[in-house]
Amino acid sequence: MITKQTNNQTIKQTKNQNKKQGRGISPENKRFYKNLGRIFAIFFCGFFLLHVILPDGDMSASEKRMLNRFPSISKGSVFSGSFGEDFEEYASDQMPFRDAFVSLKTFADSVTGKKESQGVYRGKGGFLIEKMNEPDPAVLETTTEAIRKLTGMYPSSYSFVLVPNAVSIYKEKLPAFAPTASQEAYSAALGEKLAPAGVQFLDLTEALMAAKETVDPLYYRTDHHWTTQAAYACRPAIDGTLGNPTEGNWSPLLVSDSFIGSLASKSGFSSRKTDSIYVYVPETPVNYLISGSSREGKQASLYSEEGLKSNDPYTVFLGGNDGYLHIETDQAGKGSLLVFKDSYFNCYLPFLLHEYETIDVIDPRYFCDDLQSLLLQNQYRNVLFFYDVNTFSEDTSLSLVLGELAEKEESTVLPEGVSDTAGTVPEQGELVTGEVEQ
Amino acid sequence: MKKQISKEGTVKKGVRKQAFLKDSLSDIRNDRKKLTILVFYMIFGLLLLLFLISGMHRKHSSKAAAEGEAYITAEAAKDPAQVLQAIQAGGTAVADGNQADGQNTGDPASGLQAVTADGSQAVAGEGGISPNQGMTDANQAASEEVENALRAQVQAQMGPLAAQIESLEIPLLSPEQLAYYQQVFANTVVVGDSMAQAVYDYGFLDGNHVYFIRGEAIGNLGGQVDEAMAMLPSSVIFFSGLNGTDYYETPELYAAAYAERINQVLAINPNTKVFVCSMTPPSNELAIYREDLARSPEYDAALQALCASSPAIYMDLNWMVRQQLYLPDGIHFGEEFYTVWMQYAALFLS
Repeated sequence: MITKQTNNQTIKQTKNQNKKQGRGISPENKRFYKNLGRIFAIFFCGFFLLHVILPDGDMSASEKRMLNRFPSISKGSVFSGSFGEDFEEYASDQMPFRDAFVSLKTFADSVTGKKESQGVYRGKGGFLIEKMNEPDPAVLETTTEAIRKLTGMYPSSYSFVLVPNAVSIYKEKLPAFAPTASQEAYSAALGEKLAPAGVQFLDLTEALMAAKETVDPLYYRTDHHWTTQAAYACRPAIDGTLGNPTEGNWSPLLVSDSFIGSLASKSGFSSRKTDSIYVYVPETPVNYLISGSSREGKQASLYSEEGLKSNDPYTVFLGGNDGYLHIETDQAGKGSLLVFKDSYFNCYLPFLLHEYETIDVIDPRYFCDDLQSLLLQNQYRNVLFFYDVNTFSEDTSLSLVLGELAEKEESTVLPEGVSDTAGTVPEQGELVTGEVEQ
Repeated sequence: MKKQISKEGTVKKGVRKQAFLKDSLSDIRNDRKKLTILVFYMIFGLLLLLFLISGMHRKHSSKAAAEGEAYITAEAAKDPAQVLQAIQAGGTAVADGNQADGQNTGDPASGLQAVTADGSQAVAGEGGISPNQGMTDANQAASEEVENALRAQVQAQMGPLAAQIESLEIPLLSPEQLAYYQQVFANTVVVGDSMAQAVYDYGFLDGNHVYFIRGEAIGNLGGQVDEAMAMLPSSVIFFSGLNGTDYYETPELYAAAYAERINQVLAINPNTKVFVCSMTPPSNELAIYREDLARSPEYDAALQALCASSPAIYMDLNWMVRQQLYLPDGIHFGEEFYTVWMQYAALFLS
């Protein structure tokens, strides 16, 4: 009993001592913690106030996307929970110093050895390389089937130019053991599927590998596109496929050396070095006019001044991606070209201006015009598909556009040899006499 | 201590400061938590500053690319109209902006050039409806000759279309036919109100060939004319409907407003061929209780008079109007009407 009592006493004593000492905190420290609390309160309230005071941004320049705005409040949206979700997105999108925090996070990631972010590898020397996702065989099948149908419907000379990405050409720059799908295997599969349709298939891997020693860089360090220098180096190979001569001298001209591309903004990996964009100026100038579905009027330049000065200077080429572009040149009698393309083609287009009288460029991702009418109006000397592997392996828009065309064809049941009727007098021939006035 | 002797006053102050710093530092050293938090905040602040600065730094462009930027600017500043001339001439490169305008002497419409070479002088004044004040008799005679020849040509070829309208059996265009007519319209733009909109809505022409504002009077379509002319068309077709009777009190005011638009086109490019479609009447049913719309023949007559005395060519659509071709609103027309319109207009363009 005695021992029990003494034990109880000692416990009580220590408890009292603890109370007096503020659970182990000295009076000086207590003041510090109070101040710390105040600092935190100021920090949070300050951020909240900054959030309210600072104007909301419309667009994230570095991420190249629209930021969420304050959601509208209604009974329905509050009770369904959609307001809460939207508000959360708004709060995280419009947070003060957002870009700095994103960079800070990525910096912290890289310090801790993280080499991948959003499908982008931080390669050797800070070279950013987009990895290739495992391609879906069903997508490949649907797209090649659509191309096969097109070649059956419209006789022309068909070519497919496939540009490999940095992940394939700059393998040595990838971080060690970085997993990525094989572009060579994909390219081989595509070539095999297109061969029966009579499409001339050109994989630029060989041309780029050959140019690797002399042309540096072939790809932008911070962007997913190839450089104009790389495109220029591939000219002989592409001209060979299209059956055009490779003539004329071109001189490179630096138009921007402060380019920070989409891979940097997508991944958040900051790069100390910026990229340089070149355009090639032909020795023999060519006159051309360009019009497009989302352009006003006709312009005399393929290059966009606004694009160069924008946050994405790669849009100096064609001002970005238009669904449909029509280019007329002074190269009379050289025939016409139809191109289905992605943005890799944008910097290659200038090299084709001397070879065609008209060039129609379709980006199926944004195309909503009438392809059937276009094919009926023109007898294309060449039809060209121009894609990079990463985009093409995930693209479903080309098969949609071509599928729509096939449906239209089936519903109208055209007479055999459609191209024979294009440009000639239609059935109600007596209504039309003389040549078409241009 | 040497300092203490030489400058007593200041050193005392310094000693006090040092002592204070020493105390606070020892305080911090005593509490590791405090130290950690302090270091954390210092790093955080530094990084924040670093990234804010780096973000600002990115936007600077360097001087090395100045030559290239100047090239892009010069390219963008090229005049499309001159480039078009060079293309049509067969490939003489456009070096600078000194090439003369309007060198198409072989063009049958060249007689129209003198009319409004100076657009400002030709803008119709108050009450005046003629846009050709500067036209010489010789030019006018030449222009009339050309116009008459064209009319005769159209008249000779429109038999099958007239038969279609008579019988009201109007076959829609097949894809090949449509593609053919689109080619005929390749360098033509249509400007107007809902009447022009239908050309686009029915899919006859795309957005680069049709410029309209639904429900708008012709006088307010200046912006559309500018947009349309940026396509450097060789022909412009005006197609505007009954909004004119609502907006303009008298046919003269209507014609004056129309004259302004025609002059606007000719001021931008005097070689453009301008066609003006009639103002189509409302349906008989609608005309009974819409007296304002029923005045349309007067307005149409004024339009016809304007065209007779100007380089614009009047495109008569009244022969196509049949009660069965109206939409239920009694103002607009169905696809059949436009099918005939497209082929009829193509006769003027060919």
